[in-house]
Amino acid sequence: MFDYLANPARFVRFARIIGPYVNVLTLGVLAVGIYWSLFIAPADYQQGETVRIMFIHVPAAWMGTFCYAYIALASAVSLIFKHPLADVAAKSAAPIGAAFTFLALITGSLWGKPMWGAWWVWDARLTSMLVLFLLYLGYMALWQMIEEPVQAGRVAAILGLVGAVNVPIIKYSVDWWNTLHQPASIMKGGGPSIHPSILTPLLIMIGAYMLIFTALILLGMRGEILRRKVRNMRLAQAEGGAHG
Amino acid sequence: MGKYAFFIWTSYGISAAVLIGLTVYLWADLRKQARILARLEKEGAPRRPKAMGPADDPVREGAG
Repeated sequence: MFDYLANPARFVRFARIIGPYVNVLTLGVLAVGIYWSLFIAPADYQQGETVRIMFIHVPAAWMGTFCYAYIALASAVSLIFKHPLADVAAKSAAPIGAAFTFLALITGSLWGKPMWGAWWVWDARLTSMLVLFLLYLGYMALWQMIEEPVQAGRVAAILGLVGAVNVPIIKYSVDWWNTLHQPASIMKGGGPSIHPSILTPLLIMIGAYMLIFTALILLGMRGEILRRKVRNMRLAQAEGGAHG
Repeated sequence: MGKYAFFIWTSYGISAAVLIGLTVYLWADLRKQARILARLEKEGAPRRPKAMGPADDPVREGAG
């Protein structure tokens, strides 16, 4: 399957076919998740109604981190196997990951103010997420700076791999340092420590955000493949004009 | 949602705005590239520069 889709033309055809189904599924799961988060889930016994922010904050933070791990993996495939679709995948994931990370920072700030009394604190989890956001900006800037896509892909892949060191730092920052941020509540030894009435909508929203990523990466990769085709044809056209 | 309504609705509002904005941007970019590609194909532009062999073409039909 992976080998079959590693062909850009086949990938575009596949993305065009499954795209509408992914979009419908995304909207459906998102609608259920938002309704559950805002109107069915109970208020938390400690955090009260502000727990509703968690239903969009945690999925955004997970996806922001996941997107960078995805970029690092695609970068490794690009450097080792030199496959152009890996470059396309990595480049297309960057704005999506940046958007999720931005949302994690903003919603975290809007949750932190009523709970901690501060919009921002320089603790390990928040700072490592800010570094992740800056890495995304740097990664996207690098792609913009180098015009030739193959060369840009090589340089960006190195940054993609080097920056991946931040991913485990984000994950374990709440264990390695004393921080205001709460420790892991879902992916921890002994199972989740959240009541099912709150865990259920959270898991639905995490599923919805994963589907949003899938829908957007299909869209972004299709656009990037067409942009490269356009670039090749323009170069060929200019070459023909120069020769003629 | 009581006294926390501002924080909750602002979080959901900003999330919706950013994700809808990104979707519209990616969709508009795809449409733009598709329009340019259609125009170049209509003009009969070659698929790739002469110096670029099929094996160097990052979006070649037979890549994989």
